[in-house]
Amino acid sequence: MKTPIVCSWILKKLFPDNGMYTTVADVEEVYFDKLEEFGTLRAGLWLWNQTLRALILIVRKNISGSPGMFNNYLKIALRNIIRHKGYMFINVFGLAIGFGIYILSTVFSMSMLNGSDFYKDADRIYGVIQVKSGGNQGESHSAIIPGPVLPAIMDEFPEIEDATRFFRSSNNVLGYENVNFSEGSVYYVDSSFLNLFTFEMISGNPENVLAEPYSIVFTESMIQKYFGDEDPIGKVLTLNNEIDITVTGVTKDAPDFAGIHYDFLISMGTLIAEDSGSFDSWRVDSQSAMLKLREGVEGENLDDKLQVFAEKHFGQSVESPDRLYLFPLKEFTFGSNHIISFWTNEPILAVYVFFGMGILILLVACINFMNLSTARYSNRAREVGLRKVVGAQRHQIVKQFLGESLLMSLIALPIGIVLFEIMRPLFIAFYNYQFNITLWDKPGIMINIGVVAIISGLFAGSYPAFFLSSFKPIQTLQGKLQSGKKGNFFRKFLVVSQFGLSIVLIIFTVVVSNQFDNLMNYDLGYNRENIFFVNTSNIQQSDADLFEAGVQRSSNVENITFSNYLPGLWENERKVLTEGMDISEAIRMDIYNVDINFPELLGMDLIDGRTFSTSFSDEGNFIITETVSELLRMEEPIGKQLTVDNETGQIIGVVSDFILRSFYRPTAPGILRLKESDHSYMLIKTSSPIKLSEMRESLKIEWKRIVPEQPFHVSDFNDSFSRWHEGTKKGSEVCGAIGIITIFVSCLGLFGLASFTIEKRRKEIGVRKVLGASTELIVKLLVNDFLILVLVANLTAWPLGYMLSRLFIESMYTDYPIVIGVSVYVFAAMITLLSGVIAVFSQTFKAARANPVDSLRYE
Amino acid sequence: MRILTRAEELVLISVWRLKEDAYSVKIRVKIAELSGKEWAFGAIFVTLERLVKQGLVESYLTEPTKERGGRSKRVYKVTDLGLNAMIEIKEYEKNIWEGIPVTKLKES
Repeated sequence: MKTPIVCSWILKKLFPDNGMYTTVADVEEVYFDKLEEFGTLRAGLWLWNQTLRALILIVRKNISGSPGMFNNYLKIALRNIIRHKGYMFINVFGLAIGFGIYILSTVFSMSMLNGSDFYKDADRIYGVIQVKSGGNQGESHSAIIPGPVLPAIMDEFPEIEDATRFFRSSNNVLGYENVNFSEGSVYYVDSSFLNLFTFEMISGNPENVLAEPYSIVFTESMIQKYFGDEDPIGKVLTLNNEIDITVTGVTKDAPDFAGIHYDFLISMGTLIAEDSGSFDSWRVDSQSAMLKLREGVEGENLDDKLQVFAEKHFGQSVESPDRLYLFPLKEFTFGSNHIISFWTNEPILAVYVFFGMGILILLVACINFMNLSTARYSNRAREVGLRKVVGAQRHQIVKQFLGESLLMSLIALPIGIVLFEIMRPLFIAFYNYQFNITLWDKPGIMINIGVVAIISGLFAGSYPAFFLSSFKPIQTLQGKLQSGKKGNFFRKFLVVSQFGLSIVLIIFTVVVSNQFDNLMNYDLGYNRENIFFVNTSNIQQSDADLFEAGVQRSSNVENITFSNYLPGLWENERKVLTEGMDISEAIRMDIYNVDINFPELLGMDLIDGRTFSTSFSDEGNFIITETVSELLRMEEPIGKQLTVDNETGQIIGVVSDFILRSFYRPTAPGILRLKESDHSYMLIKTSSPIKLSEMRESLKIEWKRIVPEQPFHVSDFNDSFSRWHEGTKKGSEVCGAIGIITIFVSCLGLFGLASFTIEKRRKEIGVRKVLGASTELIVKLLVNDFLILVLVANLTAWPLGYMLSRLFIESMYTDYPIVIGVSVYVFAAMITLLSGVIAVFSQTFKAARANPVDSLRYE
Repeated sequence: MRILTRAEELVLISVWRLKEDAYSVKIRVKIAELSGKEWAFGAIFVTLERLVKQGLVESYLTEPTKERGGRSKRVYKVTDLGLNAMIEIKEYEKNIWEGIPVTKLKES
């Protein structure tokens, strides 16, 4: 029999009995009797009751020496709360806002950072990464490697327990009973996939659902779309209008931060049986390989062996990697931005920034608390004096005030949790998360929040406790309260630091949102206006040509071309060789397979030579950019030969530099290659702006005429482009919201401070008015006092805000950082000054309007 | 004369009455018997600690017994000082309560 660990642990701590723990044994003796007599529940309740009562007893004893004193402290604290409701509201509410935001940032950044915890034994799973050198960016790391690598590794490395291969395919058509859908997130996987990645199964056995060729596993959310309420197991679908595949299982959807987001899993055997795809080539990078090591094996220890392995297996070809290494799964979801992979990864820096903001706002709230507690010291000075007179030690008074602030933070915590619960659904909707992320997802979070609440309670109470307990009883009881001079300075310092932190946030927000605007207006070397994409990856070349001819007839269509992928997300690094260049000198560049008219349609700027044309046999020829010609050291590029993937072609033109990659990736030099057969998207340029919905209607008629059974998908280039970079926009919006809340909390503090300072200066104001000062003059005088603080805060926070935001944009947008202009600081200063004036104006105005007789009468 | 709190008195008397058997489990039962209230263990431990500090009771460990999973009991014993204190308290209480009627009146 065992007692609940928590209880016996608490009891042991409370009553150590010089290490003998007879006390705990005594309690357990009765507990076991109760267990036999009443069962687990009642005995458990009894034990908890005993433990809690003991705990309360000891806490009371320690805080006050006796329960009587404790009750007195509690009573005084509660009376103060009731007497100064407004002030307490500001105090507790400020702290609660701080807690709310802190909880929000902790809960979400924890779920993001620990996304991979979802997989069983995540710490033993690694991905195989290959490194290729060459080009002007140094090495390129890729988790997408040739198919035969993993089986060969499995043969040679006994340390591996299990492994799987997979790749993501974005162009697939799935059909059921003659209804076709285009599916963008299909993963082709080895049969061991669901063993390694423990996605939760709804039906089917993870061991064998993907063992046979022609098997497909659905996710829960996709069932409704295809089968309605029918049982999906055993249903037969057509894949890409060719093959029949059978549903063998259903899994739950992947959590938001799991990194792998599939809608369907199809067994790799399907492709092998159909003999499509390049699985046995050591030269084609086709898929990811993840493996699980046996217990006790460290991934880093295998890297040397992998080096030997790579040298043995890869021949000396242009595309063979320099080395292989293992990369831990945990880091794939975060911090793998430099690796090309099938994982959706979010920039880790953004998560840290979000988490940092939570801490920052909590700090501001704590400072608020300190400030307000010390500002009203006069209310408590007499009490402290009297306590000292009747024998209170300083440490007792310190404990009393620390206890009070702890009480406040414990009152604020539940309110903070309520605020969090209000913000949570908004936040989930804002980021479009599929899952309901809650406070209870990870047990550690509750403990974390509890500990933070206690720490911030103690921190917020530390200065007030120290300050209030320092009063000399004789002075306070005589009514002299001028001993607060040093406190004055410190309070000003607190206000400055509060506003300083808000200003840093504002600067950061403005910079990030400017960065977004800059990205949207960045000169990409081509034009995005009036261009539409149609996904043609699922239809025959002949059908695509028919469709093109049909679209061409529409009045406002200016130009049509095809491309292999979407400009703005396009990345296809290959090694490029010129004539007479050695393999080892090959440079990595992005090769873009496009059709005739592509440069014209995007409005690229031709500098030299000519563009692709039907009057020449240009298939396989290249148009390069200026940077490329510099990199290849070509004085006269036109007519020179280039070799890519063992195919050689001629350079026929040079255009000015363009960026077809995503902004989140480092830039790479680009080369256009004419490949009429390699099409996935049709690009349509219209002569005038046209709504996407109208475009869809008119194109759909033509599409239905030619390929009625195929899914039709069209999108607007400009819209898609902003959607691809929406992370930056949303990030800046969240920053902005938190910034505004921080200013609000700071203003609460300033408001409180103003009301107390003005209270102290009532007589001074009275005298000034009697001597003839006008209301405006007094308002100005008082407001100036506070504005100087805000101004000082601005001056000190500017460099800090500059450095932080510079650091952030330089590491997030390596190749596109903006220059931070003066306007940012002016904006931050204006916002803070304005809100500062609003916070103190009502108080000062009231004070300045007051009749001097009222404030001077009792002298 | 030593003035003890009511809690201390109760624990002291229970310890004395229990003789050889005075460890916290039994003390708790005894107190329940005497006062009609079930005390928290914590309260008993704290009070016993205070009595030991004042020298009114002393404690010793018994041999480990199997029923308690091989752990000892801490058994308390009233010291001479404690016994004298009890006698004093009894005397003093008797004086205070002298003359209070035995039969309860009917409450109106």
